[in-house]
Amino acid sequence: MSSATMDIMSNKMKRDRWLGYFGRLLIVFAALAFAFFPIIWIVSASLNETGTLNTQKLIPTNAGLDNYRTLLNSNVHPFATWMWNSIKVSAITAILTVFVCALGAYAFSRFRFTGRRNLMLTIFLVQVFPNSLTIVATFLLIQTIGRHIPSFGLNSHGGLILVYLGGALGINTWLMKGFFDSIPRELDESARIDGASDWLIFWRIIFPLVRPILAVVGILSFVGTYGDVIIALTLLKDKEVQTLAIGLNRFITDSFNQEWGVFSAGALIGAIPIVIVILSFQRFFVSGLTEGAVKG
Amino acid sequence: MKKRLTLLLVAVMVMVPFASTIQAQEEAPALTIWADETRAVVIEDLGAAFEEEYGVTLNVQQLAFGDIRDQLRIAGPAGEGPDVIVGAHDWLGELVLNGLLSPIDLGDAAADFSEVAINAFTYDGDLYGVPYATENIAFFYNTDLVETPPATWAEVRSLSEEIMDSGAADYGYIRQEGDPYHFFPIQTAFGGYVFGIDAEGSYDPSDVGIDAPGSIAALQWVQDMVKDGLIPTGLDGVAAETLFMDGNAAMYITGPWNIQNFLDAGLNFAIAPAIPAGEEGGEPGKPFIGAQAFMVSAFSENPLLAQAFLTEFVAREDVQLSLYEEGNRAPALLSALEQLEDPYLAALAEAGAVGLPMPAIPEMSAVWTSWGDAVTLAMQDTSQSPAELFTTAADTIRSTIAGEE
Amino acid sequence: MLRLIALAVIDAFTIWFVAQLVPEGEVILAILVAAVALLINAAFLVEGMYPYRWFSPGLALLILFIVFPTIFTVYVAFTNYRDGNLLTKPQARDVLEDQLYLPPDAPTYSWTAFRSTDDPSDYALWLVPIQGADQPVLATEGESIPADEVDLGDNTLDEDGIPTGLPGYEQVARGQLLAILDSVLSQIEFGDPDAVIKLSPRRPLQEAGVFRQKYSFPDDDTLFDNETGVTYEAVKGTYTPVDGPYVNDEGQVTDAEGNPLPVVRPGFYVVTGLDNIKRLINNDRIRGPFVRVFLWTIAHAVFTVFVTFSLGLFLAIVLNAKFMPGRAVMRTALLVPYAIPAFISVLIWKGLLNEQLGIVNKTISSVLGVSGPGWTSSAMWVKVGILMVQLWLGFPYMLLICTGALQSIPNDIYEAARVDGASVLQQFRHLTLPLLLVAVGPLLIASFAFNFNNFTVVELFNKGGPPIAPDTAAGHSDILITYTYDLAFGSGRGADYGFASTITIVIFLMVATITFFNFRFTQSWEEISENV
Repeated sequence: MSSATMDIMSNKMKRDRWLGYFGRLLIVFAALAFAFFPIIWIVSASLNETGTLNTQKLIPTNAGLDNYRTLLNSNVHPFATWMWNSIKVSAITAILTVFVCALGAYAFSRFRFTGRRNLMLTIFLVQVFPNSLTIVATFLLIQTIGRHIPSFGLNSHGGLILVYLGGALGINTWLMKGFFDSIPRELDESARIDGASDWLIFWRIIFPLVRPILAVVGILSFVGTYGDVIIALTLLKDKEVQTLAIGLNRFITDSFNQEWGVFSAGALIGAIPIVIVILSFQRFFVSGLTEGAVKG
Repeated sequence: MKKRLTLLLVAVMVMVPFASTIQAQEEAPALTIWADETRAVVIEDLGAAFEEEYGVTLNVQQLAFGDIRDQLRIAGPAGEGPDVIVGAHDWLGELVLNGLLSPIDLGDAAADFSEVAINAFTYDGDLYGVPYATENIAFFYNTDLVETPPATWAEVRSLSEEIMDSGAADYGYIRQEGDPYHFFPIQTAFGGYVFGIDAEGSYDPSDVGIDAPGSIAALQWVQDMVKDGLIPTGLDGVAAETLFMDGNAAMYITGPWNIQNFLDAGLNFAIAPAIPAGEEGGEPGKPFIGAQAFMVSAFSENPLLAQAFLTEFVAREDVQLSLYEEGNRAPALLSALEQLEDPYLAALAEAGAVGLPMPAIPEMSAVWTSWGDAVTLAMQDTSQSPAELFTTAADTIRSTIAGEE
Repeated sequence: MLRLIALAVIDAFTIWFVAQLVPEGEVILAILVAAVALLINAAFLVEGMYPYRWFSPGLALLILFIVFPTIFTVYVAFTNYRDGNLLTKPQARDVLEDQLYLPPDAPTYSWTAFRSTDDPSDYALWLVPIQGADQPVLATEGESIPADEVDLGDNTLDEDGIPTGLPGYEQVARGQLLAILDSVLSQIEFGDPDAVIKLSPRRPLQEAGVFRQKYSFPDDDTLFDNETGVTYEAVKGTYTPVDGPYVNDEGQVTDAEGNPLPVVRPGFYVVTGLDNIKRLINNDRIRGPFVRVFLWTIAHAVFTVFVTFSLGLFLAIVLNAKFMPGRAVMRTALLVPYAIPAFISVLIWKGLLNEQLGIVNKTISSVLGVSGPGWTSSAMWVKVGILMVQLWLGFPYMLLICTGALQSIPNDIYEAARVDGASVLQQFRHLTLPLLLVAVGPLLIASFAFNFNNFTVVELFNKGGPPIAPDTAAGHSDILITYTYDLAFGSGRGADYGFASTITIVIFLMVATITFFNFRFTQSWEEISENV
């Protein structure tokens, strides 16, 4: 190859790269517009003092912080309490879910035992069972438990968390198992030769290595719990123990008195914890989900 | 293995007595009330004095209005429900059928309340609540666009054409898709009905009038409006309300709950004293009359206290007036109503004078959906014939009431 | 050792809990709790069960909080649990037993309560007749004393006939009455034991009288109305009149005027066997939409996974180029939709897609001059709308997982491909996609499973509408879970949990069968469980 052709090639490559760059930038900006379009909407609705979400204009005609003031200063809806309840319930649920899930995933990944495949199938099937009707039974169950152990009964966060944890050993266990599989077994073997028990191997060796997938499942669980209305509403009736999702939902389901502005303000503030959680675990998220999986 | 089992057994024996000491705590008796947020505020405000005076605790739990009914079915029978609920009278059939409510008796005091409200909460001869409000919808019009309210639906149409042609507003009369409750006044204006009235003056579920000629004529009128572009398609309640509120539509049927919104928006509007009739000199359209009340759960552990709360608190003038201020619905207590000088309330009452009680038979939920679906479809798809839609709806309703499926 | 102690704690707790449950009649729950405890014990004591130790917390929670409610759903499917038969037999009985009536000749009084000054738990009622009695009575627990025999001491009667005081008693102030109505006064049997005076259940603050229980239960399934003398039998949980003082020629039990008597509500729910299934099979009004709803449920889940994955993957590839400055920031920004709870996002989108006022249709009509699509009224566009909302909700997650997967594909594979002269598209088809799918396969299945039952999006977007026809409960955008929810909770045709449960189970059996054969007879199950 002559140096002239080399020059032409590198120029062409440069041009391609620039084109590629701008093309990509364009795509990304289009995607960003798509992602932020509704969010800008909710911001402007939260600043708008009259009107409804349906009729929201991009720039509110009479902007102000009234909705935020109503939201935060009202004793009718203890917003701060709700938010704290949501964070508490979601965080505890997420942490325990991760733990329960990891135990199961470890066993699926490392042991071969009778019923293994059926158990995995069962977990999948339980997940697709249309559970819209189970709420009555769940209510009665928590009521029964609460008769004897009030801190896990109705109107308690304990009971709610238990119900959420019922679904912990779900499809997320599959996710985790995939990641566990990618951790070389040689690590276990060498530890076992050194006399470590399964528990020790799990806790000391595997657990730290699989942190990315733990973060992922944790976030999935946190976000899911944070947004639940149906179960929470059925189990929690006292204002002081209710979660944010129930409260926000109430602003807009009352057919005669919908408060879209306050709702929007609440939704935005309510999203902050999730944004924080996602941002702080993002590096796990990106590197974590399938990293090891492909190696094997 | 054996050793392990023995050890375990011993340990269990030791533990059982400890576990048994975990005991459920006794809960202090109080009156639990389920109310939507608007009502809850009033109860909490005025309830403090009541608590003080009578030495009882009022535990107000807020639920979205519709959730009160849905959650009562779950929590009530389980004994975890409220003692008192706030609700609308059209829930009555379903709640009584399921044995969720306790009847009460106002005795002579019943005469202190609006007769419509008392009748609305009377089911099979028993009263099931102390009413706090009555409501009906009426014909609202924008006074900048309409000088005198139209007397017939034909006039509504010509007025709409005029307004749209002149460009004074985008639309004349508008209505949301479906929504049989707001369609009923049009249906009755054309001579249609939902249930016939028997000799005793109560609804006769065996006479379904959804497919009566008048009902079909009313639906045909609405469909023609849509077909000719006078009523826009794809309007939901909120959108229709907004069009009217912003002055983009001149006429709209709605209820007292929107008055405050319209006033806040600076709209110049009035309420027609009569809903337009089907033809010149005909009877005006009849709205449903609804009522709202406080009711006692059949599963209350304090049934006597709950009833006393209704008669000693809800039936008070100041409570009824406060509830009026929060929702603009006319108080059901006559002495409270008399104190009000509210021109809108007066016009609503006039339009509602010919109104009919909203049926509260248990099958009503079936009626609403089939009926509403037919109205929705007639407006969404103008190629469907109103006669066919209403016939199908009526047949479905008949077979539901007959207990077939 | 520690393990054994923990196990002992669990066992002790279980024994205590089961001992509490059984007397309450919660037998099924007690059995489940015991089974869970047994499983845990077995897992920790039997060597062969060793791996199950790791599942014990998850399985225990799963069995109690997911499987138990599911069993309940299955049970309900074989009952007539619905409006009118919503209670259990004891609950219905309780409600009916609480009902009182006033026999025609029974006296009623207006009452005034007095509390004993010696014993604060001892009360007396001063009763002034309203009807059926001629003179006031002082009623204490178990005893009625005619007013003229009562020693009033220095006290006199006021204009209402109430004594200004009673020796040994003080009048209870009105302010204190409410608090003792249920807890004290209604618990005391005032008056003669055979004519107990009760506070009126309807007008407790004014009236008392010799009220009697309206319904009694001669045997388990029979109800007797003491007021009218009519006997009712429980037929499928509904008390139906069978015998009474008036019977017409057709054998119907009637009232005195000859009108047939209605059934007594509330009824209770009973096992009705295959009734619900028969109804499902015989009724084409329900069966028709059922197939339709089923197809859309699958299509909805498949398309949702497909569109979100496609966009997520596309953006991941776009952002994967090393030379893109600020790509970390952009990637993070694209995650924001994920932070808004779904029920809020759906409502925002609903506003944006409002047919008349939504910004989307307004823009379409002002730019293109045609009216925008019927996002809520058209059978097709409502589905497009739902998928668009799903795309917005779901692509950030797919972007995340695809980014992770892409980064883990070794670069040398691509170099080898490039040397072989593979085009970019070929590289994608033959290298990137297969490798990626192996990695994210389980995630896509999980996503499918989640969207199969994605109640929030479908219900909130348009409540399953627009309607198909006035004679069916299903709407064009209904998926199975919203359809059953509507059937069960009566936003439409009256609540019918039993029937809704039946549909739920039929759906589940269909899904389970498909899944089962899929996993068994194709190799996909092995691939998924072993390769990943």
